[in-house]
Amino acid sequence: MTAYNYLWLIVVCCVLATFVWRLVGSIFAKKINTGSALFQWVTCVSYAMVAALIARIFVFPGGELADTSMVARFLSLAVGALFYFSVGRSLLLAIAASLGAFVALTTLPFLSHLMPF
Amino acid sequence: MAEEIVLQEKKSVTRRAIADVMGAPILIIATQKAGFATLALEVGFDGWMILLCTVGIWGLPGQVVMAEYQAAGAGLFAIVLASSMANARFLPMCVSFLPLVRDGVKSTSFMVLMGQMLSLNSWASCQRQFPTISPEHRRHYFLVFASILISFAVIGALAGIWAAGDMPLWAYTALLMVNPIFFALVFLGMKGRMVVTALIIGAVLGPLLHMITPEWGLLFAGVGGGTLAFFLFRRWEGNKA
Repeated sequence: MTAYNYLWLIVVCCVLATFVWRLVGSIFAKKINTGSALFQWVTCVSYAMVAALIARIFVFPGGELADTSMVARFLSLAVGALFYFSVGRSLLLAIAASLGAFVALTTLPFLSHLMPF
Repeated sequence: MAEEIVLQEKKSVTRRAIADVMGAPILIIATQKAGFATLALEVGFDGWMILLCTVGIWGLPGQVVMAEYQAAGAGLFAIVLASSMANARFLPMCVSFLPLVRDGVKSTSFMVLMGQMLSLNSWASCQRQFPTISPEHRRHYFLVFASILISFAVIGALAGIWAAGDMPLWAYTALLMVNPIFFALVFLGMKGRMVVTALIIGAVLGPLLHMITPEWGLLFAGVGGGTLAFFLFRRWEGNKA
């Protein structure tokens, strides 16, 4: 299989693999108890999986992000969190503030030179 | 106290749905999908694959897991399983949400279509607004809200695909940071012992296991860490009872 076709295979399989959850949920909506232990386990695995990925991206990012400073990545998250919890829990504002901080910390020479690693 | 039903006409329900979605929801979804497009292009996926992911997977965790895990060199089985588990929340979401909009729907395929259109944004907005909308128009609210949201997701993805090639580096890296920052902020605001335990164990195991095995680290951290959180939570609950 060519590398290009392999990427298509990944995409199609991932589309089906999310669709299965929706399909089962749509068809058996009346017969499933959402408080069951199985549901709790599914919830735990979903959250742990995404948390693992996000932590990994902050610590060991790939691609172009790998060339940015780790301190800058965490500091910009801290700025976003500060906005999020102080300014009425607006995600839009918090993301904008966080990205603004990230761009400033990684591009402005007098700030980016302060980043230890 | 039950909220009063104030929206009884289809027209006013349409207007409410449009007013609710045209603001933060479409701005956030368009930025997220542009961020995903930038990431996916960097990993090697092309524009058509990105568009199929946008409407076909229609769940950001599974999309980002797919692209990042492929970049880390994982195999097909690990990628598909991790992506699917990251989006597993659609099972409980469909189960709890679809009965609210199913009255009068006889076709199973239409139910499945509504399940496919469901996302965290539309689910949350419907939970907020349904008490004020008369029951026969609730499905209409959801369909209007979700359709507009999906349209802007596609616009965002297209913008990302179109712009990724000739963006200055600072804008490019900022777009790559959109989704990690988004998830981290949402997680920081989360409550509930079980969920917080799963988040902390996952966040600790993620980077650690990635160092040991980039091909399997994410899957082990998610399934292993999630299972550990589940048993810890059950034990605490058991001790309380």
